[in-house]
This record gives sequence, structure tokens and C-alpha cells, in this order.
Amino acid sequence: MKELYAGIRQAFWEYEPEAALHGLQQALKQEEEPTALVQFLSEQLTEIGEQFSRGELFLPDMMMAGDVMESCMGLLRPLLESKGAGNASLGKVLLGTVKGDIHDIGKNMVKTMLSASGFQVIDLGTDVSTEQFFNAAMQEKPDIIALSSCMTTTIPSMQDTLDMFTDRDLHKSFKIVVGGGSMNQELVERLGHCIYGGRDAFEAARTCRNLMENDQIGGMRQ
Amino acid sequence: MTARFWELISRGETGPSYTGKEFDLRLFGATKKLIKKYDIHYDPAHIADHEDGMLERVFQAGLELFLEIGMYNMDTGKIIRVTEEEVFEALHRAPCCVTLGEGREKVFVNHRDLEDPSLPVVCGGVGNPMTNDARYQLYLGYALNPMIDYIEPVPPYQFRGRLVKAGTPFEIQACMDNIALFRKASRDAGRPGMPVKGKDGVSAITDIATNREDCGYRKSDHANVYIKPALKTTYEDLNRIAQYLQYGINISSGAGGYMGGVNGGAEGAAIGGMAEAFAAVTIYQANIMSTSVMDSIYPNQTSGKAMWGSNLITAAFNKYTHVPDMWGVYIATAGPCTDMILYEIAACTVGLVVNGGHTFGVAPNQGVTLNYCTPMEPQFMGEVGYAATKLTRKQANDISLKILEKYEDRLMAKQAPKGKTFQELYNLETLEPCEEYRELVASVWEELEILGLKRYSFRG
Repeated sequence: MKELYAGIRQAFWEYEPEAALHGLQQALKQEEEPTALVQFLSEQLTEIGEQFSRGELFLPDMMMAGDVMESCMGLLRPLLESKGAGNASLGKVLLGTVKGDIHDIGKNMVKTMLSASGFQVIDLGTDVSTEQFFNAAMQEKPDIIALSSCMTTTIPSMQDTLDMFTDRDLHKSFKIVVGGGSMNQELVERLGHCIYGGRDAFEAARTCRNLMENDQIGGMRQ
Repeated sequence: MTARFWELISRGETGPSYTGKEFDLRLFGATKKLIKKYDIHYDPAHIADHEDGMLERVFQAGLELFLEIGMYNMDTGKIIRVTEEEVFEALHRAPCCVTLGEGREKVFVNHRDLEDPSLPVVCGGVGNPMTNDARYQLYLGYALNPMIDYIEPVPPYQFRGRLVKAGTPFEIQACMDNIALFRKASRDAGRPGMPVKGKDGVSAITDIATNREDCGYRKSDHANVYIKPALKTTYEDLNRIAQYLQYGINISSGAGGYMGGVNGGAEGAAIGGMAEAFAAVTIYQANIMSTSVMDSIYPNQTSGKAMWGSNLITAAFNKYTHVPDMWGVYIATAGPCTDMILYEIAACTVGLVVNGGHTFGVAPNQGVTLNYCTPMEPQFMGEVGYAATKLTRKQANDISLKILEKYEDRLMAKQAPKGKTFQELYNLETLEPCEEYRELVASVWEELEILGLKRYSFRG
């Protein structure tokens, strides 16, 4: 089993999803617990995230590692659920850059850091309209809605999106986290009904983790 | 070179198709190979005096990346590819000097060589959003400052009591009001022909609508279009370029490598930035270049690695081309009236000026904190830039490293001091800076002189 784990680790770090899946299948044949494998994969992703935070690995490394993780979870998730292990994800995040703003580098970093932290991320991309956020939230029922704005002139679009939820009292059903270059704590207080993600992708991921650990969300996701 | 624009962008309709992710991963893979092939390595002991072989190698690596990868049109999912001949034709046909402004306030943005003794142009970028109550006073403060040749106004923040929203009539009118306010300030300062660097942070429709000789951006100003990271464009940006060409305004474009993003680390960001310089001149038709590397994880351009990368591509671009180049310390981490902001400005500016750049800045507090910018930061940047014209690259490197020591720990710990607002630091009637800020600048200058940076004197 030790050799199998070494092989999975190597495949993971070389961003080879097929080799990683092969290793997992071998391990499962030898009756390894899916929860142990998920734990092992999460440790790899965390390690990659730490190297990213130290500037030793980069956004594409995180993207490729995230792809491997997603492939592996495609195999393991049904097994976990059939064994009653519950949802392997830390939570579901709906992410996007608000209408009028097509900056994506920061948003992509947040996406990879959230994935590395164990969140399931639905990325709506950039220049996302209020209605697109709303429809996706109704369909996906995320735990967290994460909005990004990098320009002062797109803060009003962020307000529009928040209004769409608060006007329907739905801010009580989701945690709405905001961030991006134009955002700061003072503005967040003016916007209302949202939480400041922080100055960078690491802070954003930490904020989301803390929110899930101190979960006060209503019932949308049940 | 403008004649090639239509032909080049039409390749974004017919070129090979990729998803954005596929393009990013191709770029990342190609960059990693080029780092090895051309032996590009970060050297913390030489952040401003790169050896000539390194300049040639990063120039070649950037060129190879651009030729191999091309530029990605995000709207069509297709690649715009260019040939080496087209790149060098564009570089050859680009001017070596651009004249901005009108009348007595004309500014000549010339090409500067490495260790060029000519004084750099000082573009004071109003680096943070500003509330309307003090915006006129801020602009007047810039216009009254003889060190500042021209400015980049901030994007509008409020319009008739509400926040300005991108892509709306409010934004168009707010931008018209904003430029009118700056023109009034420059007239009131007796500098009606003072040029302006536009335009960032607003939508393309507003950028285009505000190009008006009578009351908006003049042909003698220059408009900026950043290349989306990394090596990406959109039709919104190409619409800007098309209209700017038809209007006749000068175009600057940013060659910006982003550390931590798809370029990778400092080495990859330098190669990526170099590649974007070629894209800017060839596809975006830029006649003023901005060469920089930025840390995108904790946004700044003043860390040792960011300065190493910015100085490297600035030096390479200015050694091997004749296109005017302008950059400075745009994204700093500390705020006004702190020792750290002055250190960041000084460390960054000595390197860029000695490597052939003009100066542009400053955005304190990473450019996101309302009212945290004053005319003092670009004035100090200009003073340092003038002083740096007396330095060799080796001297600039030694000074830059010693200044970096004074703030690097705080930057790496993300503990840059916030400083104070324009309203707190300036008398809004006299537009004089407060005693505290003046004394701080004087004391930092004493430190810089001890390090070997002598204040510039017009008496020679």
C-alpha cells in the first residue's frame, strides 16, 4: 500500500490525472478506505497550496492540481456517499466577477485557493450579470456566493447583485463574500449584508473556511 | 505601422482555437522551457544592474514566447499570431520621441538609453480613488507642482451623489466632468496645455466617448490600454485601439508580467512582460511603452523580485529598441506620509530611471484606498528620478538594495503602514503639505544622500 500511495503522490505532483486514477483504483481493489484516500489527496493539495503561497509554485500548478483532484473526486465521491460518509466537500462556493468587470487573475487565484481548501467551486467567470448570479444561486444552492470587483466603477454592480438577494431576504440563506482590488472593509460596511473576503486569495480562502466552521447559514442548501 | 492593425486583428477571427485554460497552460509550459533555454534566473544581489548577456537573453526569450504563443482573443477563442518580421517592422516604424501637450506645456517623451543623463519625464499618476470634495484641490496641487509634467487623473468615484457605475451614462458624464475638472485645475495653475494620461478603470464606451478635442481627451494626450494577463485581448480593448487610431491620440500600453499568475515566478513574469511589450507595439500600436513586473499575490511592484523583473525588461527594451518607455512605482504598499512609501518610491525609481525609463506613479496602499494619495509622492518620485540620472547601473543597484533593506520585512509581512489622506496632509486652501510630511521627506532625503543618491541640482 505504501508504494501505491507513493505512486498516487507522484501522479498528483506531475499533474497526471489518469495515473492518479489508476493508483486510486489499485488502492481501492486492495480495500483501502475512500476516506483515507481523500484525506491523502487533500494533503497533497494543501502542500501544493502552501508552495503556491511561498511563491514556489504558481497559478497554473494550482489549476492542474485542481484538475487532478477533481478527476480523483469523480471516482471517490460516489463511494463516499454510498458509505454514508456524507459530502466530501467543505462547502459549495458560487464565484464570479461582477457585471462590467473582466479582471480574472485575482478571481482565478481565489478559485484555486478555495479548491485547494476543499471547497467545490462553481466559477461563473467575469462580467457576470446580477441575474446570472441569482439564477445560478437558485439552481446550485451554494453555501457561499463570492463576488469580485476590481474597479471602483464596478462597485455599483456589486451593490446591484447584493440588492437582488437582500430584496428577497436571501442574504440570510447564503453567505455573501466580496473582494477584489477595489474592495476594502469600509466599503463592505457601506454595501451591507456581505463579508469582506480579504486583501488576497489566501485571506479569501481563510475567510470562507472560517465561515463554514462557524456556519450560521439558513436552509437553502439542505 | 497602423496600417497593419486591421490585418493583424483579423487573425483573431481565423487563428487556431483554444479555451482560455488551454491557452494559459500552453503559455505556462512554453515559459518554463524558455526560462531554462535562456538561463533566466532571479539574482537578489543584482536587481537593477543586470549583465548585458541577461538583457539579450530575456529579449530573445520574450520574442520567442510571443511568436510561439501569440495573443489570445478571449471573445473568439482564437490566437492572433505574428511573424518576427512584423514585430521588427513595428519596432522600426515606432517613433523614438512622442510629443504630448500643447503650447508652453509640451512634453517630449523621448527614448532614453541605459544610464542616460537626460532628465526623465514625470507623470504623476493620481493613484487612488478620490472623493469629490477634494478632487479639484488635488488636481490643482498636481498642476501647481513644477516637478510634475503631466498627470493621470483618477477614474471618477462619485457622480451626483452616487457611486459611478461602469458602462452607463453616469460614467460617461462623470468622466467628462472629471477631465473638465482637471483642465480647469491646469488652467488655474497657468498650465492650460498640460497633457493627461488616460484612461484606466472605466469601460470602453466611456473611453471612446470622452475623446473630444473641445472638452475631453485631446489628441495631444495619451491613452493607455493594458494587455490583459497574460497575452490576452478582447474586442472591447481592440475597439478602444481602433477608435484611438481613428481619433489620432497617442497610445501607451503596458507590458506587465504578473508573478504568481500564469507567467509563474519572477523569471516567467519577466519573459511574459517582454513578450507583452512586443504585442503592445505590434498589435496595440503603442508608441509609448510601459514595462513592469508585478506581484499579483500581494499586489506590489516594489518587492525585490518585482523590481528585478521590471528593471530587467525595462533595460532590455531600452537597449534593443528606440521606443519611449515609461514606468515607475505604480503599485506601492504603504500610504502617504510614511517612511515606507518614500523608500518604495526611491528603490523603484532609481532602478527604472538608470535603465532607461521615464517615471510614472504613485499608487499608495496598492491603489485601492480612498483619498490616500497626494502630490508629494510623484514630486518625490521626480526628485529621485532626476537624481538617478547621475548614477551608473551598479551605483543604482547598490542604493536600491540598501533602501530595500529598510522596508522589505514589512512588505513581506504585509504590514505596510496605511499613512494619511490628502485631506489630512494638505492645507486645502494653500495646497501646502503639512510640516510632518515635509520633515519626513527631508529626513528620508538625508538617508538617501548618505547612501550615495545626491539631490539633483539645476546649477550642475
